Amino acid sequence: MIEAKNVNFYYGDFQALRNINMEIGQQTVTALIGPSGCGKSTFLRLFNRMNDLIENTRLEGECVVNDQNIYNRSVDVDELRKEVGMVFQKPNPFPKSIFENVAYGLRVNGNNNKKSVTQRVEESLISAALWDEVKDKLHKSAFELSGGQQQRLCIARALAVSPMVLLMDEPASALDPVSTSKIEELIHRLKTDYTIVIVTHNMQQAARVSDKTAFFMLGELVEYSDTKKMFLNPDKEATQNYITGRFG
Amino acid sequence: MKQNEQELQFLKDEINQMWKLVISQVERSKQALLGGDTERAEEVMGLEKRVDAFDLKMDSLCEHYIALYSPVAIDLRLVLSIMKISLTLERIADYAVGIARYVADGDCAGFFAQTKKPLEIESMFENLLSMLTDSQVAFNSENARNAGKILAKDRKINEIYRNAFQVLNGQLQKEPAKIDCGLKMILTLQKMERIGDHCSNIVEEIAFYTEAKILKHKDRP
Repeated sequence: MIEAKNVNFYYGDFQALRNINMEIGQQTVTALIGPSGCGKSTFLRLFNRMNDLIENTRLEGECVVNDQNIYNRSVDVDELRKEVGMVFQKPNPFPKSIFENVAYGLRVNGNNNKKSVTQRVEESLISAALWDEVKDKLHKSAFELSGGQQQRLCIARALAVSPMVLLMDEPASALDPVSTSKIEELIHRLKTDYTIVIVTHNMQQAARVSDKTAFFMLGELVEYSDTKKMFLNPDKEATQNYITGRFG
Repeated sequence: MKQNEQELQFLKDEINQMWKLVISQVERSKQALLGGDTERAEEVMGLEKRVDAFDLKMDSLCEHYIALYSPVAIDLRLVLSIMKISLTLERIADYAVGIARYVADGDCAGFFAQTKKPLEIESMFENLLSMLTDSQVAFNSENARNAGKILAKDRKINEIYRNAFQVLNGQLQKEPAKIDCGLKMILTLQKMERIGDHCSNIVEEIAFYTEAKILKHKDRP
């Protein structure tokens, strides 16, 4: 469903990704791990063209979502981002009510039917495991929520437009263990309906939540395999050194 | 060396200490049985608590390491292997104590002396001690290449054990009054055979630690 074909990516003269080839299956959770600056977040952001916003960058190769190279001129980036949602490291709710945060994407996409929007907001909040905590205060400011709740609100906001893919860039790194656990539980449940790619610096989190793990180093994809294998018996010495904390 | 690596090295050092003690327990039980040496047998029995203490200590150290460092890959395999090797060493030491108890009873000294040669007791012990020391070398060198050679010694022990029944049968037909001593000898041989099996289990753990290979429950040549 998602595929990188011979991907090279440059920030100016600096090559951040080197000949990445990788296929990500539907309804799986794939963790991207590696030391800071290894290119994993750059790689993640390629799949909803977030890197387009950075000046003086250049991509070679293809990033395929649903059999289409998303860097083709014909691709509408707004449409792409409906298919490929993103959740960031720090929760970034809009300065609006809880309800309006989730409804925002629907309205931007032209859905102004009150009943339909209300139903979709509820469904999204339920999917994001937040409904029970906010159903009685939907019109209060999103900033009144805790950090963990705000992050789940951002996930609900991403889910509202019914994407097929969710990209998560360290979604729990700013959260306490209880909130982290809720996000991880949520990822487990969401993978039955969504394809999830997550960048994390937390090795145990990668081991817990993902089906497959990709280890990046210096812009290269060093190893990509089943998570259970990766954390018990990786093929490459560099992977073993990284996950056991020998370097990085 | 990083803190994590220091802790792992400490675990290795401790399991090596335990290994050394258990080898010495098997060596002492050999001397006791072959020499009819009841004092040596008492020594083996007296040291049992030290082995037990090591076993508890290894459990505790491994639990702490897992809780504090959440090991993965080769580190995880090492800690899991150390936990199992520690348990196995403790059982080997129990068998050494069991052998020593029969010697310490002193009532079958003559029968043991008479049968030790035809039963190839010394050869069995030599193979057992060699399995223990070779597996320790394999563990420390992180090299399971000699696993086959070590496991072959277990097969040799099993062969001696199987042949022992015929030898003992012949002996007991000549001396039916010694049936109690014959039974003790069978139980002694059985303990030695079990030590061999446990040594094989240690080799399997080393293969898991060093190469992530699962040898357990696989047919061996």
